Amino acid sequence: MAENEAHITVRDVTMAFGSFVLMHDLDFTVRHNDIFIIMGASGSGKSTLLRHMVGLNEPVHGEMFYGGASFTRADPVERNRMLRGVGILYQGGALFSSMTLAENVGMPLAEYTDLGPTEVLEIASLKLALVGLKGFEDFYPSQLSGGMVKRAGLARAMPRP
Amino acid sequence: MVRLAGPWHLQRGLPSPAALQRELHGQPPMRVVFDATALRGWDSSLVNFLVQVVEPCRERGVPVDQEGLPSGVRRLITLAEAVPERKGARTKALPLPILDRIGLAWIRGGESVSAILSFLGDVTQAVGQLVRGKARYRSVDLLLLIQQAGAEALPIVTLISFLMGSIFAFVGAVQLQKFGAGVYVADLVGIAMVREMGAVMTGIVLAGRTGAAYAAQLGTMKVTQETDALTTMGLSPLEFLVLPRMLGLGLMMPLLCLYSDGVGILGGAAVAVGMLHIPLVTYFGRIKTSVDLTMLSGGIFKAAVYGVLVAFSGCLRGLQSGASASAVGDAATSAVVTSIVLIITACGIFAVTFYILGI
Repeated sequence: MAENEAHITVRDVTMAFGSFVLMHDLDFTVRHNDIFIIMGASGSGKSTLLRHMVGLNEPVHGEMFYGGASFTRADPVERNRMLRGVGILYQGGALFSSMTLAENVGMPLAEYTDLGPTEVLEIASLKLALVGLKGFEDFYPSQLSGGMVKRAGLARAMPRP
Repeated sequence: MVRLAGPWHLQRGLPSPAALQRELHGQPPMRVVFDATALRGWDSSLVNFLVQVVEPCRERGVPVDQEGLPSGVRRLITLAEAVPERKGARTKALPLPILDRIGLAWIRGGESVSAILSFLGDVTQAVGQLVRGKARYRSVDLLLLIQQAGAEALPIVTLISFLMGSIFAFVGAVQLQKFGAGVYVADLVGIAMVREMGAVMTGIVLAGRTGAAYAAQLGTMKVTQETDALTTMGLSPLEFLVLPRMLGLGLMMPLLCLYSDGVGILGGAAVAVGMLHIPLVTYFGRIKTSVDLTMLSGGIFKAAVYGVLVAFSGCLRGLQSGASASAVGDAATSAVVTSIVLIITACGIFAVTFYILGI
């Protein structure tokens, strides 16, 4: 992959809630190996932009591209395939409260790889260790502090090795 | 010159700036100066008052000299005016004319019906995936849901069914004894429980117990963005959350209904034996002749349908829930109401259909 190849492109995007236009004619490109920061005042639509970029909201106008392919015009199956390369850490962690940390972190692996349960658990433990939560595999999200939940969310959002 | 004096504290109420504002509306002064030398103590009541004086001044282009104010007050006023009001953020709640309100209610009603239909479509699609063996959900979840909806509901179903059975027997006995036909109380209880009440009562109990829980669970998952996380992981909330719930209730309701029929008949037996002194053998003999397998399977089939309806309404209202604690509460309430309405409607449709079919 070329160093400066476009990775994510947002072209001409307009976001609106009903008649309330939040942002219009948004244009930017994230290249490979970029660390891209979206900054703005509270309430200016940073989270909303991200929600649009992963398909939780639909832009009223414009298009997003992942590695050259249009995400906006892709069908649901194709979208899921594209999103498998995306890790999302939600504001409140959004861990599945009915599952342990290991199950949470291992879920993308269990769903999308052929790994067996013990292997999934091993990788999940590794990811939890990477965020400093070694030994918390069998805890439920409600038993943890806000910061720990956030870190576990980060472990779950890590792209698959 | 505005002279501020004495203590300005919230406990003493908010002085109205109306007099000053009137002054500004009339003949606008050249400039406004404050004198706070006599001020003894202040809090946000003073800041609120001053902001309401300064703002109209600014609108009219009257220069305001804040030099005379304490520096803390000056800083707070600057802070309050730092970010201008966002246009369109303040929504005006105008009282609408009655015709508008009727029209809006109609439109909302239509929207809610189309939301239900589109959810029904989504569910049907998910069931299609299930039939093709492609649905993604965790079997652990399904087993847990089956346990919660089934085995854990036994105590309340026992209580309600036993009481229903004995109430039927009691009410029936009082009437039937007038004709010396007390023994037919068994027929009454048996037919009522097996045909209708077993399924309906179990359905209503589970609507309150499980349907409300489903709405609250799914509603909370929306609040905590768990459903968003599922979606972006490529897992459909319909398959992952709704399917196992519908499956669980659809499987457990017939079993619970069968159990409820049995317990109801026992409740009737208690009254028949205790009050009417009918021998237990005679009671069960009458039950055996009056209740047949068609009746029993009809009731169980109805129960399965009610179970799916309860899970459907619970999941529908849960996924429609807004993102606040009170919205989740509303979702749970609405789930129970929807379930009961659907159960009673279905019950009516079944009664007519079964009558036409001669069952």
